[in-house]
Amino acid sequence: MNRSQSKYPSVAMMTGVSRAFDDARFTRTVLNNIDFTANAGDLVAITGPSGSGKSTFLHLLGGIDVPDHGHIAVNGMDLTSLNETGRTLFRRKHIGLVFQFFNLIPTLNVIENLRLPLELCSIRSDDSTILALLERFGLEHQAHAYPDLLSGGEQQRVAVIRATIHKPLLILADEPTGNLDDCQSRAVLDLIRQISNDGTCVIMATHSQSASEYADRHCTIKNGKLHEASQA
Amino acid sequence: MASSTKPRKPERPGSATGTLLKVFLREQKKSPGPFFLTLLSVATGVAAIVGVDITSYSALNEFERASRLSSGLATHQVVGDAAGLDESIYAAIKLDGGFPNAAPIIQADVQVNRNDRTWQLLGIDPLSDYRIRESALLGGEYTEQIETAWPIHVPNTEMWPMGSTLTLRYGNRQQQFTVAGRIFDQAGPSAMQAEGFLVTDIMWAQAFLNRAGLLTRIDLRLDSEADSRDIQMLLPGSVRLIDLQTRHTAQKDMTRAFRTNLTALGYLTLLVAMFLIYSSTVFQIARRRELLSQLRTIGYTHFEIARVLAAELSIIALAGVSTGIGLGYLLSTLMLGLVTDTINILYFELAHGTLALPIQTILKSAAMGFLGTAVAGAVPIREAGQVTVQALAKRTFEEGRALTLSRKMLPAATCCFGLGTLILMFSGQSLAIAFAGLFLLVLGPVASTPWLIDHICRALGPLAGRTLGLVAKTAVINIRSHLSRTGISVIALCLAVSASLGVALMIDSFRYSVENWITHYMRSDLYVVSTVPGEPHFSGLFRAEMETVDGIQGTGYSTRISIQSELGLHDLLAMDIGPSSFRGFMIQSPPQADLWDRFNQPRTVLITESFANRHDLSVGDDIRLPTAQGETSFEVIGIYLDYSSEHGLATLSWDNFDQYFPNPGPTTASLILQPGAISSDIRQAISNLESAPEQLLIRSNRELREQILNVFDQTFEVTDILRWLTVLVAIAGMIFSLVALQLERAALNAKLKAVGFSRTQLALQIISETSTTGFLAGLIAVPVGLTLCLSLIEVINVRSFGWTMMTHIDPMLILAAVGVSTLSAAAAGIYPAMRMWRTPITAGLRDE
Amino acid sequence: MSRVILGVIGLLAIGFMLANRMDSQDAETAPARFLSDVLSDSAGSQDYDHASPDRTILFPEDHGAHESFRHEWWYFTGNLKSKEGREFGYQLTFFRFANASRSEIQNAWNNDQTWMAHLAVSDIESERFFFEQDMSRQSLGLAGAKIQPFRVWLHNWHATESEPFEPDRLALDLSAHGDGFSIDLSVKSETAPVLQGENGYSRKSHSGKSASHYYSYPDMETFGQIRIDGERFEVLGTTWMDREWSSALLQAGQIGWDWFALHLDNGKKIMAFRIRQEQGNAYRHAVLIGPKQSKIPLDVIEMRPTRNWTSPETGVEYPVGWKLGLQSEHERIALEVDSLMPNQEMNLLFRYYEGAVQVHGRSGGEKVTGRGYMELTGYN
Repeated sequence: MNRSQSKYPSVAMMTGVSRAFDDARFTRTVLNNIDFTANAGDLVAITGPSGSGKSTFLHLLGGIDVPDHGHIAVNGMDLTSLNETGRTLFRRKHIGLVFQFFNLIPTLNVIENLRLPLELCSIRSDDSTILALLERFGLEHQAHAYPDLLSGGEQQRVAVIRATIHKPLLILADEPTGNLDDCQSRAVLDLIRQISNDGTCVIMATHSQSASEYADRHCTIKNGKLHEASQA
Repeated sequence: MASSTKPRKPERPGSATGTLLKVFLREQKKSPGPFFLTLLSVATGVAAIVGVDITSYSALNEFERASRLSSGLATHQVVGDAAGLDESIYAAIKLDGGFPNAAPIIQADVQVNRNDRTWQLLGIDPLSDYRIRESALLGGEYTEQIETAWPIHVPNTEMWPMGSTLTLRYGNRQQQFTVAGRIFDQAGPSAMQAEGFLVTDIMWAQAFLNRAGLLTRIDLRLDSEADSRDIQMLLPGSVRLIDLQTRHTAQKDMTRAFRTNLTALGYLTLLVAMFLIYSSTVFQIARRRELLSQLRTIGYTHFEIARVLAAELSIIALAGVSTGIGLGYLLSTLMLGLVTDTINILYFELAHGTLALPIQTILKSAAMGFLGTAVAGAVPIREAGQVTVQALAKRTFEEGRALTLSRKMLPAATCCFGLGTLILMFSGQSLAIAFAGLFLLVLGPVASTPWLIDHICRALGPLAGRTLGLVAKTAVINIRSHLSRTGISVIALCLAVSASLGVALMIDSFRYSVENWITHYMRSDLYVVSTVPGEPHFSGLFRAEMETVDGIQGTGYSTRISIQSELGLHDLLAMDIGPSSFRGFMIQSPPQADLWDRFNQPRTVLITESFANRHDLSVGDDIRLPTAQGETSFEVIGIYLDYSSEHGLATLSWDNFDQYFPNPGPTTASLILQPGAISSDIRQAISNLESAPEQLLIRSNRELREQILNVFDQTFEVTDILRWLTVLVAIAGMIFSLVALQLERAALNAKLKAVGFSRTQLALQIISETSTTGFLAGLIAVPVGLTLCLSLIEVINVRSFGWTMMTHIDPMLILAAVGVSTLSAAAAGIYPAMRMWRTPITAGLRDE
Repeated sequence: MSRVILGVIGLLAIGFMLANRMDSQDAETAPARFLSDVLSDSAGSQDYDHASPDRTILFPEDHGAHESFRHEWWYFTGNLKSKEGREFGYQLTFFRFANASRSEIQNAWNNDQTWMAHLAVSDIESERFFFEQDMSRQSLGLAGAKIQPFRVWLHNWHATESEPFEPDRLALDLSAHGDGFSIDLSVKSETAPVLQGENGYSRKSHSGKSASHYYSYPDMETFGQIRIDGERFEVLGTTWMDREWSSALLQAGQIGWDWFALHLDNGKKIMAFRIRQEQGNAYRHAVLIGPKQSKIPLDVIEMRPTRNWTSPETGVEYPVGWKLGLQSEHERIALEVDSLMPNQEMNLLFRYYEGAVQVHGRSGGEKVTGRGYMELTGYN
């Protein structure tokens, strides 16, 4: 896939996005009129206190949730113009998601888990490609293991590989290291870094300082607003 | 590249769907509980339907074959009165009427070689019989029959080889016959064997039975109404032409009510099973919420997920249906025996038929199984597709939509109840529709059980907390909060318990009424019945001698014959009794002081309630009976309660019987003993009388009463099987949903333990929670069961049998119902409690 | 005469029928066994009277039944035409069959006389063939024959004298009905019957071991009605009546026969038959009946099939076209006999072919045509 930046100025773009949730007593505005852009090869870290809206931000970009106001475009496609199924089909092809928990399907082994996005996108591939990928990230010995036999860090690395295996434009990672020790975290973040270096846009929500250090861009969500720290 | 960013129509990711199915099935393999529960639910529902269907099909088959074997292709029969039919009528039909398709028959129950079994001896004229029984009732060489004296054709020549002899007994006559051939029909000799047919030429039959000049009937195959009118013209007054079509219909009616009852119970089981399928499907989905949202995140559309869930459910349904058909077949082996026995006792001798598994049964039950599964699974599967991806990140465990607690539930339930009542009231003669109404009527209140329990708990919760402490309070709170999950199982349990209770109460009321009737009706101490086949009538000498036996205070006699009147085929009971026995009649019509006198007036009859209902007769109406003097009108002077014949009968005095019917003497005597007389001595004395019929049955009041009640109980054994099956399915569902719920709460329990709840407290809390739920469901089932019982008594029974019965509410049955409900729910709490007990705190907390 | 075999089937046929249903293997062997058993005079025939050349046939007594003989029949076949010229053939036969008294039992069904009747109508134009049978014991007056006035009946099928008996006159009403067809005919002969063979003693074999008493009314004027499927036809024509009784008709080895009763347009009648042997030459016999029932014996020079027809129902092949060569003292008669329509197979308990035929040929140098009936038995 040609990831020419000239043709598409941005991979992910939010304009004037707002999202509020109804709690039992009052309406809580999580995101308020946010503008945001990310380009291919960007590795963006989103930080902020618990409940600040980091996850909501990622869900909106992933088409899992829809904004109350504003527009979200991924690779030029206006997600807000799509219905649920349309977003799902778009997500399946163009977006990879990594979460803190439950990334792998427990009843599928590593290679089967990795094959899943390819199958969904009807991409023909043989296992050698997947094995090569696993080898590259030092996971080849676990190819046929089931997730519960993998360490947390290994699971999360497999999850990251799975999110990227069908070569999406955008990877969204929600606290990918939240459940991991430092050593494991580093392995996962290294992997994310490499993916970003390959030209994929990665947006990662985290409250870990060490994680955000891997990023090129640093944004903070606070009181419904997104602030980006000036480029280092 | 633009194209690649546009969403396309969903491609067919065949392997992705396959992978998804693989994911689900591997998960099932890992913890197969819910899989097998769903499978078993489908199987039980299907099995109940298959079992009932095969049973009624086979019984009906047997029934039809029995009719076909004896009446062949005949469309009509000419029958005479009890004495028989003059064979000159046969000549008239052939000579004057010119009807070629007519065959004379002599038929009698005989015994062979003193064997206990009764055989039907058919005397036929082979030269005309082949026109009626194309199935070659008579095989073998006719020439041999010509050359053999007293030839007989038997179904199975292995049992009695050709040329061997057998002694036939009829009354006190006996005759040696020689086996000259083999009889069979399309169903093979075994069918004839099973039905107990023996065939000989009409000349031998007449000679052996001492009925020269007489026939039992003439079988006719008529083409048109005009033919039957022409035949009518040829017949003298006391001889009747029976349309076998209508007769068969009447006979089928006899088993119809029986069948409908069973079928209704079968479908009830399916319905309860559907609730179980629903709740197990909900559980399957609930425990997969994480997985499902994960899949949605990866990019499966909700349609794709729903499709695979449906495919998975179909696989379970397929396995369930197959298992169910097998189980149903096994069930039917059990039930058919019971049904056949019942029919044998209630109606006529029927062979224990071979089980048929008709293709339509397989198709029907499979369709019902799949449909039931689809209906029960549709809602949760649809819901599953809508699991939001956020559920994953939030990791909240959303409860299933509290469908059963919805505010809409109450009006819906009320409508259901109202509609059911209306249908039941206006269902006319259709039993099926009446049962449909009954279903709705029960379903309404039962469906609102969770809602009711919720409100009861809301009201009682604080009270329970204050009086019973923390455990009780937590339990009550838990019940309420879990109702959204357990609701469906609670409904199923309540439905099964209330249906079971309703049926049990009805049967109990019935039994009570029958007992009461026996007490009233059977006032004598001893009953003497001749069982001599063919000639069961007491001789005048026997009567006279019996009356002189010491210790007998009073005697009454009766005989019962079948007649074909304008009202169809029915029984006529003639009673030679005194006024004290007459008081045993439980008169339903307005009391009349002079009823006894009127009973002894010429041309009066008493009729049973069922007879009155069936033919819409009331006191003062006339019925026309075929008598020796031609058709004669008899006035209905009273209507009485009787459970001895579901067709009902007409009773007349001995004098009336003597005057209007050929009276060969009584067949039953009822004896009142002098106080202090020893029953066994008198029995012995009667048996020893010179003039006593060779085969005499003497029963004491108590024995007869027990016998009747045994028959009664046996009749409802099949019902019991299905009733318990339904309850078991419901209990299984209850146990399952509670186990599932409690297992999900493992983490919560761990936390509570960590906080300081003791294991005993927790176990107590779990069990008290489940048993309270069961108790409340059982409590709600009580009024529903009562309503059902009343509907069955007042509507269904009156309609199917024309019987009224006293409503008798046995509090023990109600206690038992509530008890079963409570205990089964309590039992459902045991396993989770045990697990909780064994699980260390850390294991429960690990996932946190 | 050759109706013999039909008369014999009676009860035996029923045994055959039932055996047939019971076991198909039996069915195949049954006809052969049946023929040999019945036609030989060994099977209990000593209990019966036998045909004798010394017996004088007397009327009206001999119109009635001869219960001391084993078999007997009253046989009517006729060629009829409606006013519109539509041609029909019919057959009505009453068979009586005696069996040895069975026992001392006293009831109506213990009767040693059994009756069977066959009815057939050939609708030549539409080539439809209707046939029916009925059977009964001679019990309860269900069947029988009486002399004065003469009547033979089975159920409500009957032949009944319609005019008082005269030595040279016989007038009968015939009535019978099958499923969807019936006949109501009046037949009348104004001449005395023809006594076949030697004064009514008819040999059935060269040895004379088998024989019957046999007389005929070869041309009875016939009129009446035939009903087919509700349609009524007023018909006129000629009936041939045969009477025959015997106790031993065929001897061992005789397997069947072909029999012809023909009316020629020159007013003469021919009766001819051959009884086929398992081995050896058939026994042949023919007679020419001239004016005033004068009998002229004929030598059978030729009697051979020219055309076969296979029944689609049973698969049996029947010779339905024949060449007859007959020779009297004075003349030579050469005839071709052909069935008027192919299917006239009596597919009943015992199968045979009984059909209306047409005749062409020469008699004493003159061209002749005619109508008649043909019976073919013993074909399988």
